[in-house]
Amino acid sequence: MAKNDVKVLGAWPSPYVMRPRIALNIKSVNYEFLEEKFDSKSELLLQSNPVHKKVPVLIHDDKPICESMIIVEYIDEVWTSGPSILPSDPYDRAIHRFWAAYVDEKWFAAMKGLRSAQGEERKAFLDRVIEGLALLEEAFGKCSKGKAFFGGDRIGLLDIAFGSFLAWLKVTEKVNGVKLLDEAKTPGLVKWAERFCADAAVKSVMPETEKLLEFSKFLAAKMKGAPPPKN
Amino acid sequence: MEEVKLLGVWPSPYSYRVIWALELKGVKYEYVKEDLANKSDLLLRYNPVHQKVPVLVHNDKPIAESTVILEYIEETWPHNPLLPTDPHERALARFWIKFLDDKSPTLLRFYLTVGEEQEKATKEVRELLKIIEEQGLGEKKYFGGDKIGLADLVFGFIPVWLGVLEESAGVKVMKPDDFPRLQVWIENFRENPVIKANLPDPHELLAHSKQKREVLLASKIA
Repeated sequence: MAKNDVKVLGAWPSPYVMRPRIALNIKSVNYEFLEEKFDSKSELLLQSNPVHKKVPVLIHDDKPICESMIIVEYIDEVWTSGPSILPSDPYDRAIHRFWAAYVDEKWFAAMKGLRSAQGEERKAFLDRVIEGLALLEEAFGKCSKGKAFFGGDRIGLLDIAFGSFLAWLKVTEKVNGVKLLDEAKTPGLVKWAERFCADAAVKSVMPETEKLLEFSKFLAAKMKGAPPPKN
Repeated sequence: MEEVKLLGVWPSPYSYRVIWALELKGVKYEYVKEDLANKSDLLLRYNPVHQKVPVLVHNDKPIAESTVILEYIEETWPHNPLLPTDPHERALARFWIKFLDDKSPTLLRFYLTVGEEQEKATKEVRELLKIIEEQGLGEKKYFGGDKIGLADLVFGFIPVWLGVLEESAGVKVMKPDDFPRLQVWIENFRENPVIKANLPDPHELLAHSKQKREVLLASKIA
């Protein structure tokens, strides 16, 4: 398949954009990555995702697909010759989808809250983030059944959903001076995170923590209205 | 021996989506009425993370979150398919399902507010309906294409609950001449024999809706 039949519109800091890229890598599909500029939206983006005007968007044979997890499921359904991303059993699929929804709707919401919170509020969000990680540690035990990933021997839907947040998780740890993934409390997830970040499908698209940290400071300064910090 | 239980709550659109999916597929199930003010041990055991309904229990294995349940039902009982076969169309159906759920605060705000806030909220929900009609439904008969599908079950909120919320809140969000294509879809949806046979009683729903609004508004002022 020619490279430009498959395009991903995205931005390097976005965990959501990482997801389809990891999925395409798992399937060994060549694609063109079209990076959106930080403060402006391209014509192609506005045309391909008129409803939300957000990345990521997958464009396959000129047809756009939007929403990161929906794109991942699409990729799994179209490129069937590559390794499967979703489990084959309907109940296992439901478990992966359940926890992927939890990560997006509850856990990352608490992470975002933690980033912008001040004082007392910060402790409340931090507690929620840590409670969430305890639940995910338990889920990891049940899903992986002793294997390397939530998906078993290979990366699956839930690995992609949760793993895409690891770079931001590391930035949050640095900014807040806390350990979120902890060898004592979440030993399974600590090892899983290392394996996930080292995986061939992930390595090339996972941003370096330092680079993301700088971007995070840039974003924070922008939100306060101040000029970005000088290096 | 297949054992299917559905834990649900009477007026909830989320519970009804699952009921409609099971009924459309002709799956036999036991409906277990939950009381969210007094959650059963069963609910706490089957959905410890969210403690919410609906929860589908299939041969003692629980599945929570309505959209996850809908996909599970579709995969487990594949006859009478409720999702298109084409991957791109499936992705679109899922997109619109997510759209409606993500926008539920906007859908409900007019019902939960008064005065100027309500005016603003009414305008916003009308804008949403415009997007739903023009981009979601488009020229199709159903959100799912030629036949009723999962997306239609999720948009079922509009034919079944929106009117009741309008009446409770004393506002008209959809006037008779508005959104003609959506109105046709609403008729088709309500006329579907399975849907028709599985609707909450409109009088009870209205009474419940009015009472709930009073309680919610009172708690805001307090």
